[in-house]
Amino acid sequence: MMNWKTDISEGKVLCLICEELHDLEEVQCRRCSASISQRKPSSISQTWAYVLAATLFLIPANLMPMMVVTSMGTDEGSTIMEGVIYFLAHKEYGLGLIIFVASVAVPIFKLSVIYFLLLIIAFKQKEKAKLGLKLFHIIHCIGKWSMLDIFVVALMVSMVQFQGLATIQTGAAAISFCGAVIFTIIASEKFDPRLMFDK
Amino acid sequence: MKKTACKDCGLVIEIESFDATHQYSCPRCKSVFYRPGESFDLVLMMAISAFLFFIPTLFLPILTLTIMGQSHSVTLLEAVLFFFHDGYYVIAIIASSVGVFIPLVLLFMIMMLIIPAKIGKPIRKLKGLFRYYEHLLPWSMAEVYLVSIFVAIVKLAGMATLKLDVGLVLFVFFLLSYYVTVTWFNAEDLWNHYDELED
Ligand SMILES: [Zn+2]
Repeated sequence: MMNWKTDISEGKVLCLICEELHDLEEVQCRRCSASISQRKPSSISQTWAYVLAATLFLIPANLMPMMVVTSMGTDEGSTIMEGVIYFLAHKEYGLGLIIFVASVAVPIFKLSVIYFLLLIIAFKQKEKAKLGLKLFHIIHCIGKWSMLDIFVVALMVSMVQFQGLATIQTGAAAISFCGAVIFTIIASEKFDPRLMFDK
Repeated sequence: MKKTACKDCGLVIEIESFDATHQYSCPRCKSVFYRPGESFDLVLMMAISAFLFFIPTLFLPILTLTIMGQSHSVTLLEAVLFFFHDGYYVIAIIASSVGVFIPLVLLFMIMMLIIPAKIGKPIRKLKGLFRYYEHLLPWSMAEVYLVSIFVAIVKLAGMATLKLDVGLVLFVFFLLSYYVTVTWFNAEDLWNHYDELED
């Protein structure tokens, strides 16, 4: 194994905002005045807390209706999966796939990756650090797309308002889904990938 | 000579002759830590045109829906305000923040950071803005919003006759030019530029 020079071995602190390198004793970046520390403070416990919260929110998000369409007196609620099936039934396979990936696959994948990263650190599996980092970059790129269905519902609610004829309302799942997405983003922001590489 | 550390693995990196037009990645974890951006003039032009596209979308109709003889056209401002009127505060605030307001704030910050640098008068206080720029970036989801507009339109086409209006086209242009601005904007170059101005 090669002996790499790291910020810890060299006694340096990197500012995560402007990427200026400082000496260990400094607590504030002299370039952008952000507060700095060698590793994100209490990164692991905060990541655990947010990822658990996100998991809890994801369960009702998938079971309850996302959107309720009232058309001529009848209410019809649909969950995320029912929304996907609607598109498939109407031969809109592309859109069905987009919604499925964005609202079902991406959120579950994101949470699994964060759990995996936390376990890498918990069990000191340093040789898995590179794989973990690759996955971390992937969830960073695709994470935002899980908000897609929420936006669709929000847009439809605001566009379709016909007194007495048809209205669309957001269901209970919408709020819990937002919660799940927001907590997942915070969890991955709190996570410090450098901890996987540290001795 | 440039000395920094890898954000992702903590490796201390020294580059003998740094070239701002090259992409650099970490020798240990292969993460890209420097990506060249476009010139500030181009970024500024894109940011201004994004604003110019945005302003009229507030007042021009986005689309017109017709269900069983009833027609209704919606402007962006109406769509957002209606949402608040109807009491869907949480979803309304989340969707309009991450889809529209945060992108607007980011555009504004980019302009506030570039213009003083261009005039050659860096403003100390404005540098503090930068902290917020990096923290806000994960919360900006304009590109997701853009795709969700198209999904919502396809979904609505099944329930109503709809006519797309000029406001929608401008809004799409706004989101696209926003996305290009953020991709082209290289924060680190701006920091180096500020350093040169102060020396
Ligand atoms: Zn690295």
